[in-house]
Amino acid sequence: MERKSENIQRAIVQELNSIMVENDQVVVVNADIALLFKDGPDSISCPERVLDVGIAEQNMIGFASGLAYSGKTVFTTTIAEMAVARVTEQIRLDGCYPDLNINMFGQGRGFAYGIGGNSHIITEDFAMLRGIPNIKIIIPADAREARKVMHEALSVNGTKYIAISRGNTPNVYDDDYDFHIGRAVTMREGTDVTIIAVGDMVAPSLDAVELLKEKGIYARMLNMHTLKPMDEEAVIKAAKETGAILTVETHNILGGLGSAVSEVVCEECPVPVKRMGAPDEFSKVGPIGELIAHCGLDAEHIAEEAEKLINKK
Amino acid sequence: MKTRQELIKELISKSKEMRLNILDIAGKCENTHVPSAMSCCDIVTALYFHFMNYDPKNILDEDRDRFILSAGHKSMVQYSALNMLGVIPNEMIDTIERYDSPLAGHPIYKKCPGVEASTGSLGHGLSIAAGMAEAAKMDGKDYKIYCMVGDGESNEGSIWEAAMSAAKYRLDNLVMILDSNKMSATYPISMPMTDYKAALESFGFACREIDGNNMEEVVDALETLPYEKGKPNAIIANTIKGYGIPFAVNTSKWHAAYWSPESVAEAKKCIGEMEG
Repeated sequence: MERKSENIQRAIVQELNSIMVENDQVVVVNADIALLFKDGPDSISCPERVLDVGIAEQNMIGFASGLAYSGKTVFTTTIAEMAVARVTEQIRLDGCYPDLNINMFGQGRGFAYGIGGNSHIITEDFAMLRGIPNIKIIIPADAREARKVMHEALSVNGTKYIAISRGNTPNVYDDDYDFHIGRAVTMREGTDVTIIAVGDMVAPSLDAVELLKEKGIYARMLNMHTLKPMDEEAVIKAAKETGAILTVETHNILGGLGSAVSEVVCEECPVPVKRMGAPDEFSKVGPIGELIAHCGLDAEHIAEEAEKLINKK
Repeated sequence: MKTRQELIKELISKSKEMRLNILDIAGKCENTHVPSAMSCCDIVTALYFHFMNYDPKNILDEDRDRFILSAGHKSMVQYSALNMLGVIPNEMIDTIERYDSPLAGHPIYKKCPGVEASTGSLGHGLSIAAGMAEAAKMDGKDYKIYCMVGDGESNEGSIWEAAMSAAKYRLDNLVMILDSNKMSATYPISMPMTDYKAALESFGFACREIDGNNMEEVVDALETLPYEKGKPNAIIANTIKGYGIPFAVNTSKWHAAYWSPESVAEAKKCIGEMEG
């Protein structure tokens, strides 16, 4: 399905600008890669509160921690691979352990930097962070949701990983809606099966719902924008009411959304679950679309797996 | 008004008291880092008992100077100072290393009163201290951030990342103290770069190099801060690991160790025989 799209990084910068004008305790720390680095520092309205520590990600988080210890609300920005894999210990000890207000953007998560190879692709970020106490993992599905995340991030305490795609992302919301960290959004109601997706997999999952509808199958679709703390209630409800759950993510099949959902379903309401995601291997190189296709993460395959899953009920 | 000589004498006596207190605390532990605390004990004494703007009755005063123990395994030295100031009560000291104690081998923010940041894994504290110093600048406050870094710790690349950013943001309210005791856990420091003063100056710091176990030099280094407007400060303190306890000097055996009542008694005897 054709969707309008909006640059998610630009949306975040616009929101950040207005937040920084309103709140003089908000500080941004970059490790060279600013959200809109091609626009230069002029795109930021409060340059005195936008710091750049250079290509030094460990220091970015440690420096942010010092600011947050001193009462600031900090946003950090760099590419998702470096934002997570390079600095997991700083996230754990300097952010999560003291439970400080650090909001860490990881831009281009998944296959967004696919042409750059595995140094810049990251499909392990959720698994790397999910086991750290106190952390919040948020994956806005489009620019509108990213704006809402910005405001919630100010009112919800703690260290948050905000994982975004890159550049123009398809709009998945037509109308305004309530967004709360930790509460899944029911994008489509249905009773035959539930598709739970995050981030860039929300759009193809919505398309899959339409394909299934043509066959008379009514799938529920949840956008699990907060991977941690996950909305367990919504998962249990989906298991009870639809009897089968399909998870879809551009993350390694191990340790991400599929794992988190399976844990809850197994313990609380065992029903058939199928996890769709990236295979447990380093990615091939290539444009994002082809890498996602390689993983079979398109609407047709999602619909096909949903149908198979219904037969297992 | 105290003369400078009186101050030095008083601080020497205080540091001796603190060394004895460290041993008392160590005696309650299963395994702890005493020699690393002894090397920087004189500077930490001078900070907490004279130079830092720190009110033990109001430890969250927003204008207070902050002490960040980047080399978190030196926790004994900070616990002891805070204990002697009455910030950590004796009953809390008695729980050290026990189940659910606020006092771990490495300091924990919010659990242990007076601890400004959780540290322990090496190479984190200077970044945190730099961020705090930047926050003070943004808020127009003139408090200082003192950060204790080990020379072994400075093998960590993140220390130099932090140093770069401190110089870039002209954090002259940041005081890095490099406790250069020439030993890490197992080995003598083996990196060819040993001229920390030259290194830090090239990173944009204003530096003093002192004998960190000589109170007169410690006082001189701390009273002349800040060294240069717009530059972060570094005090390279040449020290002896285990200073005051000859049998624990420069040996990996005592780096992290159990202190039996006999060892504590023997060490206290050595401290008693120190000058001052």
